[in-house]
Amino acid sequence: MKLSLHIPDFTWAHGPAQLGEDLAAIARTAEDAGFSSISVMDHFFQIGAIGPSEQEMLEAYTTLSYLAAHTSRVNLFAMVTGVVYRYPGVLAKEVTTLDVLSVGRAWLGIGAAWNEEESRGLGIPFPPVAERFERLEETLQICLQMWAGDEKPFEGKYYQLERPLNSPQPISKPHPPILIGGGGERKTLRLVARYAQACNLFESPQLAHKLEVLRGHCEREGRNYDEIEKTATIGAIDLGRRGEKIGEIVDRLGALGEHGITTVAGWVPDVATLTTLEKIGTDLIPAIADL
Amino acid sequence: MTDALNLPAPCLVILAGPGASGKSTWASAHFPADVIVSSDRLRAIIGSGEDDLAASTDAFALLDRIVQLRVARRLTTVIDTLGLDADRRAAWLALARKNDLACVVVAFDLPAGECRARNRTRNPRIPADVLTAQLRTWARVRETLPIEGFDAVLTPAPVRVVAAPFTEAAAAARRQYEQPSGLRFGLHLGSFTLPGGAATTADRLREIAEAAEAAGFSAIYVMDHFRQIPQIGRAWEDFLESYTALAYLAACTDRVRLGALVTGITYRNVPHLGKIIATLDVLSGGRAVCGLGLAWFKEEHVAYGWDFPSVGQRYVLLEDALRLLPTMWGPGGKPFHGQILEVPDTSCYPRPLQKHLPVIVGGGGERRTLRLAAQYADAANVLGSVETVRRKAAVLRAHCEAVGRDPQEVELTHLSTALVGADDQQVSELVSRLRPRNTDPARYAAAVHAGTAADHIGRFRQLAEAGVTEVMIRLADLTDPAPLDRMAKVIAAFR
Repeated sequence: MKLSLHIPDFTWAHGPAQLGEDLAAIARTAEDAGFSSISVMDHFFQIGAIGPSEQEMLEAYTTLSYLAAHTSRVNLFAMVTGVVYRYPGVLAKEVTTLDVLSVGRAWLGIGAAWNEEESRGLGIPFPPVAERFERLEETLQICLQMWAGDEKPFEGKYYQLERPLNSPQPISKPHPPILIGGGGERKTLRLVARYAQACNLFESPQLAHKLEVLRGHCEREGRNYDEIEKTATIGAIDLGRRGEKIGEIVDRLGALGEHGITTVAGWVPDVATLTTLEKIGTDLIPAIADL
Repeated sequence: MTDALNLPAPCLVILAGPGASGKSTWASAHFPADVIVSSDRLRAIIGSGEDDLAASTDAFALLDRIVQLRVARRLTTVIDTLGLDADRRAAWLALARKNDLACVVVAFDLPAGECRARNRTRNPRIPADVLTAQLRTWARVRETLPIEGFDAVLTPAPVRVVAAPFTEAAAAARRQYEQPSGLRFGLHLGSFTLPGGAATTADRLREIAEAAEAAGFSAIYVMDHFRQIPQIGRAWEDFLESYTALAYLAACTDRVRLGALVTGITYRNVPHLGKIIATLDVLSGGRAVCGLGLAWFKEEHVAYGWDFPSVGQRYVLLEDALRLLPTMWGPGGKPFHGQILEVPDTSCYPRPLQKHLPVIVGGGGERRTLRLAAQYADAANVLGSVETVRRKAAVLRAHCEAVGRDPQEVELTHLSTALVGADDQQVSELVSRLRPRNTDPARYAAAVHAGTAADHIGRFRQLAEAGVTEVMIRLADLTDPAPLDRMAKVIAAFR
């Protein structure tokens, strides 16, 4: 079992003036602790589940490239890119640039976007859900086409690209792995079966059912279910004040592992103090390595 | 630095003066042998020696042909003859004009006694009566040279042929040494085609950024494009996305400012752009610069399926962005109502660390772009010759006055390419190595401003005198840190 550090919150004790330094230290510490990857959200305002809108939120791909220069091993991705924020061509160039500058450590984490309030706040068009899914599928097709070096015109319902040129090509071969976030049974998991190298589901009682649905989509799409990496999000990784909850976390991750989950992502309370990250490195990551 | 006079490349240099006045010696001291076309040498080649007067007619026919072919190819050429024949001089001048070459005459105005004394030491000598006749003719020719229409009548002092933009650089460099003025330097990364390919781009870029900081650059800029632009290279050459690259550079550097020169207003949702730049500022510890422009590269927009509104609409969008972005970077989340952009909630936290994040408007459009710069920006970035820059500076000042802005508040910055050699020899080696096939060396040297550190000091001094406070430099040979070391000498002269 691998552990992935999710950083959804940038409101730390030193404030924005030290944010760059704090973030670099968190990334380096997480890498040394043995986290396999680091992700940030793709939002412009802080989301309600974590804090008030006015709290600090960094732009995703700018932040990931900054982290690329401060790390050398961890994979880097947005959990998950909202499909409506960028032209698909811009997104493909950003992920490719991240992959080249991190020397092959970028993933494309992507989803259909949900935060209508934020999009309306910033005047970003936010189409209805059905259209967002159609745009998501076209965006995936465009990224894959650009990464395949296929420059022929793309004629989609929403996007028309006359020459989807992408140079340099990513260092990841055949391309940066695609992670599609969410457990929507009819559309999201079908897109996973059709296009993705990884899915991301919440730790929940429905998890086993969601995986069965994914398996069904794989059968219909002719996709090998086993080649899709199953990842899950568990919310906070809370070891307890003196580490008393480590056993409980190991048990939870063990249960996820039994369903076939191989990577678990979580955020770390008081991450900027670094001590919890270090403790995860010494006490948790070795304990889950063989799950 | 030498005190040589700078001649613009390419040029036609006509020598004039009596025998034994030092023409061939001067020519070979200042020009490579292949550039000099000498009637004496041609007589020796097709006749029995340099003094074979029977071969003169054929030698001059050959000389005229060679000059004609060289000038038609726009190659710098030195004509080493007596230069006493007015019709020939006029024909050479007309040839130079037709091919758009500068044309100067060098007058070897030695006292008669000195010529005679030198002639006595020569072997073979010019017969005394012949030399006397030449001296007599020369006295008349000397009178008419200044009114024959040459770009200059020079004395046989040391000369250098330099890329055309450096013609005035020597005097300007002297002014800079004597009374230094300050100037900031930004490194402009226009190409990501680096040795080793994409697999090592991250390391190469880090080396270049670190070396740029060490060389004294105060900023690093990238272009905001998604594929290489035709002015610089081919569409399929490696090209990195701008803000992802800048955030990476933020982590590789400590001091330089970072920005896109300039961000095309059409590529991203504008509030998203505001968020990206605020993120860059926070992660870099307050070093972001916001370059903004209209966007121009229509083929790129078509290629990727992006809207490319009319130029009028793009100006409206640019003006909206110039108003929106500072609102986003300020406190609160008050709604923004632009002509096109509607942003109900302009919250952007964390706000940039800089109290005021500098905005540069790119483009020298005199009616609209410079006016927007005067109204909203901290700087206007322009291109072109020193003369062009003087005009843009005046236009920008006038706009400032018209909109009631203190002209001191709006800086003028300038973007150009540079190729810096340690000395003349390295400059010409770099030009031969880098110029595209089928491109004339003089044209290429002028286009990329190929010159020595002293040449560049002079040109940048001229730009500073024209009102420029920061120069953004694209180094034509920047594939490793070496050119940055050569550039460091230039930057040091403006500290």
